[in-house]
Amino acid sequence: MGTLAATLTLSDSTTFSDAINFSVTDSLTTTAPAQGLTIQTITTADNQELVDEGTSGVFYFFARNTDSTNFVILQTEASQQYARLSPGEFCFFPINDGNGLEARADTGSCILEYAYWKKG
Amino acid sequence: MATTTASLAINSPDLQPGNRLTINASSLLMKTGLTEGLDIYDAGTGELTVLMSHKKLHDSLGTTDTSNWMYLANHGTDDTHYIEVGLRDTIIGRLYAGDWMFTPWNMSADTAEWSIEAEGGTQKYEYAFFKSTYVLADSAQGTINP
Repeated sequence: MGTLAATLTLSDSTTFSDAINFSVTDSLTTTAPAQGLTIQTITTADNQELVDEGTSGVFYFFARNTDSTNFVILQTEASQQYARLSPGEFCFFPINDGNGLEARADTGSCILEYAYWKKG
Repeated sequence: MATTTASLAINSPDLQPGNRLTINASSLLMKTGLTEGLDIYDAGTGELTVLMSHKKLHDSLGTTDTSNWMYLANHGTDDTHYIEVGLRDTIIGRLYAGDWMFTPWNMSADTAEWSIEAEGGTQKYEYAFFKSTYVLADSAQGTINP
């Protein structure tokens, strides 16, 4: 279906004696289905599904919390919490086949920007 | 105060005909809330064999609701092999050769450890953790200077 080039750069020149500065790039082959860049309001209600666990495949998932105050919790469809995305922060990771992904705002509704692509 | 910047670029020339995909995101890593700076950095490389089975990549910190980040990359070269990545008893995902992940890590329980397992063959990995807090474990030597 298509290829994605995903590049992460981490840098910090002020904290440690040895500055952190590295970059990693991955070339990903994707296939259908994919979810293009989407803006979604995430409320404090539980079980707001972003990726359906019933859709087979490994998905590469990107999300960014556009809110300036509140954080978003990411969890599997079994409500296993594993990440909180603070205001302005983003993440990129693979979602395991059959896990699905849900989001929930902690304190107030947040606008989450997200997209995912199925591994080809 | 640490000022660690994470930047992500996702590009695709052919995902949608006539609509080149270009996503760019950047943020400073923050402690819980809006306090900038994760002062504790822990990084390294390693090699996983299939026989090693399930290995702990990082213990939970035993501190609830702190903001931490985990970077993990599979530097293997065989496309059929992958590293299975787990948090607690949940498999988060698979990292195939060349894949990486960057994700926040919230320890809502002291069992929130990261684990990895090689599937298909031996694979090299690289990791980095950016942490809010870390409490040194008690020494088995007891009191050094009684």
